[in-house]
Amino acid sequence: MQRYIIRRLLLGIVTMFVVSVLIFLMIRVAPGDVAYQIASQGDDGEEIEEELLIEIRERLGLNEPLPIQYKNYIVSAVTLDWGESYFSGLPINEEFGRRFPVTFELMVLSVVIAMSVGLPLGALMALRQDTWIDYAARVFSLAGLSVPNFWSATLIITVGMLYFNWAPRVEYVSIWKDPIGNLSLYSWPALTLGWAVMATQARMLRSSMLEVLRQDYVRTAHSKGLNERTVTVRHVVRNAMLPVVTVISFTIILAMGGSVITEQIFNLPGMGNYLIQAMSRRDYPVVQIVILLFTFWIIIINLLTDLLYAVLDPRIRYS
Amino acid sequence: MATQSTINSSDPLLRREQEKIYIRAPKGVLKFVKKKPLGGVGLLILLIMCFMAIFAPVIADDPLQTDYNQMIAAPSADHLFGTDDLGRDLWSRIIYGARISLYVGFLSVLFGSGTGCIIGLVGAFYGGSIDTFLQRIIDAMMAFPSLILALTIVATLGAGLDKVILAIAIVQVPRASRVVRSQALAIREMDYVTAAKAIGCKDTRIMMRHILPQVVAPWLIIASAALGTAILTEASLSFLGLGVPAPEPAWGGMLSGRARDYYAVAPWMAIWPGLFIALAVYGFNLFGDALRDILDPRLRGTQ
Repeated sequence: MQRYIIRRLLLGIVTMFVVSVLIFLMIRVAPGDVAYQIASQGDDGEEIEEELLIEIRERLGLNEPLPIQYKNYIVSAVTLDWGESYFSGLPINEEFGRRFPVTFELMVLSVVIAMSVGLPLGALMALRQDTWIDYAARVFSLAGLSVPNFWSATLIITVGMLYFNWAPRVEYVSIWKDPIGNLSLYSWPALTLGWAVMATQARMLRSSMLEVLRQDYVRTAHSKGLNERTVTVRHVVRNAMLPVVTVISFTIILAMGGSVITEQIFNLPGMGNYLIQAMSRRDYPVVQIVILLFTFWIIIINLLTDLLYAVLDPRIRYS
Repeated sequence: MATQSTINSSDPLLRREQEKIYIRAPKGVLKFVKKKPLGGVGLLILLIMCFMAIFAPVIADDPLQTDYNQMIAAPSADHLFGTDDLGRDLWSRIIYGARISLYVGFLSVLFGSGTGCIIGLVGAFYGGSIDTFLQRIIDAMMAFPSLILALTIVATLGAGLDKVILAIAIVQVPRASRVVRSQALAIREMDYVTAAKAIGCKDTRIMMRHILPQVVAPWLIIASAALGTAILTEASLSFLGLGVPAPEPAWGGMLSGRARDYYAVAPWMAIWPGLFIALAVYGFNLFGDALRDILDPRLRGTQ
């Protein structure tokens, strides 16, 4: 088990290394000169002098050879001293401390909302396969996958503005200061994101439950005369637990991607918002660190999922 | 009930019937619709979208034509869906938008899932260090949420239709390659592959003639599911302003930027583009689900 964890962590480091090289090269290949963008901040149409650009590049270390720049990047990532944004000048660590809770709360809320609907719905679909309940639920959950969440959010905001004189709150409040204000701020973003996540959960759970329902031991349980309820609770649900863990961890990652758009629409100052802003301005240090952080979380989530398997299913022993 | 359907789908008679569907096209479509009514609805939506895309010049006017006397006009006989903030006819923009969506969808899936298929096939066939190398890169690509990966690539390449297609194609490579690889790994061990090797077939021939036909079904399932996702991703990218550039009538782009300031006065600007994105993706998903059920009864309803 220990050896397995160590091996997985080493593999994770390899993956992060590949990601870091890719992202490092990609943003530098991208068209657009970051020094020019910094120089033209608050631009009044004047021509920017070459000396200024050279000075900026020197200040930011952009004139160094690529391997040196890469080394600096890795050193700053590993020592957790992530440097500053090229544009705002704010330390990335500080921004992270402020923005991570926002994204984290959005993800937790939407996954919880999704689970409370999606898991029972998926189980119901499987148990009542090919009845009208199954069909209705499939039509509903497929809609969750198909409706872009930036559109459902747009509709909510439009309807709110037109009929209820309501607009999403602009200013952010922390959950520790004002729990009710905070939750009302998150309710719509979490619902729109949660709907899409719910759809995936329900569909994945349905298919894995169906697989369990077709196992020999379920047929045996039926044929030895157990009633429907006992079969479901004792044999089906217990064995469907593993897929549920997969489904949840998969959808956490899904919510991570979806949060980028949701934050954008509802003006939540989270990590996704930060990343989009940084990308459009070629804010190298921010893009590099944030992408690496996303990768890190995903690796950890996947590792925890696999370890949870071993806890839940004694047949699985990693060695 | 569940066991019943397993027995049914492994019934050789029924399977032969399912295979016939693809042999006789016109009759097959009827049967498909009868067997999978929801899939039939999906197919209908798809056909409507294709019709819109192909006959756009006939049924719509110039989507870029501005008319400053008709800015944010409500839907009327002249402008079926109303006009936007520059007086452009939304009906025409929606119709031409179907072209962009389908174009991006089909091309990116063809390139992306196609490349994934080749990578999976080659990796599984040769194994060893080639396979390990390819799979490490696939791992790294899978360590991103797909939207963030697409975003990063588009930010790197810059905006533009061809670049969006490339970005969405790249995002699709990992999944297709994983699925094809796992299938191909099993087939590689089959006796007939060994036999083909024994009589001296070239590697490429074994891959193309003996393994590829066996991975087509799972590949089709992945590709049809990927179509809806590709259209959704394009819409999301355009919405974020990183996809198809502005004057082009991409559905996602029509919802972004300055358009957002007009929603309260011109809700039709918010409704139509999103409705058509949702409809197109819904159609592809319904159709893809039905196709999967028919091609692979074991996988019913996954994802």
